[in-house]
Amino acid sequence: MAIIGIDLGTTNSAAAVWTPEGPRLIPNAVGEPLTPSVVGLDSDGSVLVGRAARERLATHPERTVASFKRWMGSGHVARLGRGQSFRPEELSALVLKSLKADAEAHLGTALAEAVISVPAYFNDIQRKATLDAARLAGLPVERLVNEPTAAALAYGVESRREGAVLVFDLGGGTFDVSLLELYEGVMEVRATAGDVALGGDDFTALLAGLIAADQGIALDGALPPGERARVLRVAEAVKRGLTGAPETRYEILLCDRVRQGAVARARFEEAAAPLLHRLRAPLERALTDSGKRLADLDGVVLVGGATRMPVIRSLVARLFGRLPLVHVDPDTVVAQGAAVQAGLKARHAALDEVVMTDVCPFTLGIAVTENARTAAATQVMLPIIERNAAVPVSRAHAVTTIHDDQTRIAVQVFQGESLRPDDNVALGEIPVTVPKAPAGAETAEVRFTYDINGALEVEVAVLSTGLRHRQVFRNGANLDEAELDARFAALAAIKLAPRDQAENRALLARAEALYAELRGEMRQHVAERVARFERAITEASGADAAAVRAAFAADLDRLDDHRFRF
Amino acid sequence: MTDAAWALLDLAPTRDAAAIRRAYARRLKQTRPDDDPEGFQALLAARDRALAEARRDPPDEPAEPGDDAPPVPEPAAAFSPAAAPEPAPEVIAAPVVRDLDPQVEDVTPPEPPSPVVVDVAPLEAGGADWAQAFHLAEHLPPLDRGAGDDLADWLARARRLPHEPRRDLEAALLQALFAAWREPDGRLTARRVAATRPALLLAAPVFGWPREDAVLAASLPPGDAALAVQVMRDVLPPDPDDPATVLVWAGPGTRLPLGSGDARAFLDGHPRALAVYEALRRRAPVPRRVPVLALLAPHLWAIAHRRWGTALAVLSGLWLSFGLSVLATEGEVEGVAAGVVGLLALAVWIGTAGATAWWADRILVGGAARAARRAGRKGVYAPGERAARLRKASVPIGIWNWLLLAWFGAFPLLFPYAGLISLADRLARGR
Repeated sequence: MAIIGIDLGTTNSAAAVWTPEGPRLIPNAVGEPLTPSVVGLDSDGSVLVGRAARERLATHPERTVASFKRWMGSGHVARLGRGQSFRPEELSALVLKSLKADAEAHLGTALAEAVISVPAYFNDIQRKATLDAARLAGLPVERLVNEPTAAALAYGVESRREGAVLVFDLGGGTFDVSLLELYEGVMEVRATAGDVALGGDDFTALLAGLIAADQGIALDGALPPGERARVLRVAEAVKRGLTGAPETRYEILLCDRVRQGAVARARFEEAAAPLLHRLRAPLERALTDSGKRLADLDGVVLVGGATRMPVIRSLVARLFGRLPLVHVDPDTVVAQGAAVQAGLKARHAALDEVVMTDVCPFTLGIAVTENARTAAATQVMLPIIERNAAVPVSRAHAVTTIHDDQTRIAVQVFQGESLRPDDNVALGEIPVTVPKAPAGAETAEVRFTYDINGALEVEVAVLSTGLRHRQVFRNGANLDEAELDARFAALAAIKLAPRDQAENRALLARAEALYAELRGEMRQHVAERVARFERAITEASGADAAAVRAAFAADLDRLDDHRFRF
Repeated sequence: MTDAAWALLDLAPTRDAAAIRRAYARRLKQTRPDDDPEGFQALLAARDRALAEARRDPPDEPAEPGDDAPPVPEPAAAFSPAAAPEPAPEVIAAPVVRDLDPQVEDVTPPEPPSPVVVDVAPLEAGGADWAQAFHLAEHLPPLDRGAGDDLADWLARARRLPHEPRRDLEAALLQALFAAWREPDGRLTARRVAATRPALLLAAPVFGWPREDAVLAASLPPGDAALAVQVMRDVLPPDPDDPATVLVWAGPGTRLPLGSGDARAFLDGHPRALAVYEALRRRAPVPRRVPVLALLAPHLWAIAHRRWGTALAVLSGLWLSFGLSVLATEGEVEGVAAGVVGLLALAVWIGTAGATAWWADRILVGGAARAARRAGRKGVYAPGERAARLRKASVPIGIWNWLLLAWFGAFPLLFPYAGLISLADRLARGR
């Protein structure tokens, strides 16, 4: 029985297992460590996850969905095909199911448990949604770990270096900064800050806008989803091309016309200036909160696929006045860190001397009214757990009634840094009844307990009556128990595309995408190859099948190369 | 802060921040946050209070290791030529790199080695410079075999960068070099080091290696950093312009430049020699645990370190002095001439002894050179093994040798006194 670590990412997911030698990545059915977080419905009603689904984004946009992690914890529902609708929890559960199947196939045992990484800035509701997704996937998960913390764990266990390190994690959809101190086997997260809506996808969208502007089309609702997906796909390829070359040429089929163009790095960097500016605030906050100065830092570690962009690297170098350490594998380091956390949880002997302490990245508090008797009585936020307090933490604060004969206190719980409760994220409300008394005579103690998984428990105790109300929040955006069970049954009924077919499907989906993009002779070429492959694969078995697949993949690579010239 | 809080940290009240953090780390491993949330919060609060107190009210004494803390080895202090002990900066597991300046004349503390200033570079690093540095850091040319034009080109581009990116590139290069020195099983071997020699020779003038601060900036693990400096010193020829280099006479017309590393390697293997060396450097009383004969005359002690040429010169000087004093005593010359001869004998003796004492540390360095070269240039660069080789290379002088030395050495030492007495006698009689 193994415990694995899972990085459930916006664009890609990965799983890793802790071994005495260190974290080891688990390859998926296609043999790659990264599984794209994309879910699609096949024409026969089965669900495709990963590479195959990603290839179908351009060809079947209405039956495929990606980047659903951004909707976690919201009521957003994705419609796939006709009639089938999925909540983000369910889509994540499908990805988790696929990862679970890969891990079980790879390890040869059932999974005892998993540790899932979430963005540090995920709030209580989003964390619950992630736990629900795991439950829907039939994956026992007790522990969540913050992504930058996971990255830092992987880095700390790997390097065993001491000092203050800043982890700069720019992923597909989120940006997190963590400042850690490593000493004597202790990995102490001092501060975490971030931006939940800033990531590599934003840079891709920016490039897509540039490309669309060059080609004189508007990237809005009027554009068919297929074309839109194609622009994004080309933008992604251009973004990757710009990492290695100062200018990238592209070719795209839009509105039945093949168009060509080029994007220069300088232009992209100029356009990206507002995004780059948004990177600064979390960095500054993390530094201030940790009480460290720039000169105290012993290193800056870059994590996340988006940090491959030269513009990000030179920005970090300029801000910190030193070359950041680039992790060898920025895409999978979070999964590896989650595996380290799994190892810590299982108390592996190799990690005996390692302790990690994390922080709560945001302020949690309640809305209170001050100066109730004046006309300008407004509600303000009363922080109970300040941001970057070490977790697990439990803090209490007493509040009193403000009106004579008041019978009810509504404890509204908020998360955020603003003085005005309205600007913060509302987590829920606990109503408590108090005996009638003059204003200020009745006191209630509000206790917040924030555990290592980032789950918040609020307890309100009325002092005079001794009544206690305890609540763990599940608000409207989260599923309730009955619903969870129903959805679990529904998801169990959905059949995932068989694992042994995954590779073939991924290749075919890629060929289809290519077919849609090409024209004329080249197109016929692809169709021919597809037919030949389908014939060969039904006859081949075992090693032969692998050879057939490799040959087909090489063909596709050649055809693909023809399209992008960097 | 209460006793209970200190008890929680399992620490006697202290204002040493490093000790508090160590204690916290130790206790945290028994009070894991996922097992014992309350215990963890209490421990954290105790630590934060203790650290706040330490910050508000820093220790007046230079950080002395507490009774319960493991003693911090302080080899640096032993080497410091300055008479007044300066407060040691708070060092947490940083490699202590000693500085050794073998020039006796210089009793002021040696200045830290200044980084080589490359004048072509602009001062302010812009984004383009960093981008360039990135590119270079990711495209390090091969170092271990046939380092040539690629590396030269890389270095030329690196040296045009402003100070900060260049410093980081230097660190990246050092890390790569250090990795290249190791066999797949992690051992550092002469074979691998020799393979990177051309690369090291190319890079050294660009960055002014060997520089200890460069190795520190590369943030190698502490043990490795000292090793890296040592290896660089061994591989690179000593720079004659470096003030820390001594030119040692190695035959007619030949001056052998010796880096301070050679002397240090030797002295590391010879604690007694180190103690005497120290005393000489500081003009301080010679420590007690030195052989009595060495106390009597530094030149004898030089003989003990097998500087046979020097020993011969010393003995010749002494015999000359002896001869002169005998001449004065026996009455071969008369009157004032006898007095002059007696004074001459005295002067030769004082001159010989003084010159030997004066040059003693150069003599030492010469001995160091030979021992270091014998020990260092072969085989494995592991510090332990190296020390063992050094010890083996310097077999202590046996009893027979000492007797021999006493026979040849003690007479000339005594005779000048005889000359002195006869001179006094003659002067008394003359009156």
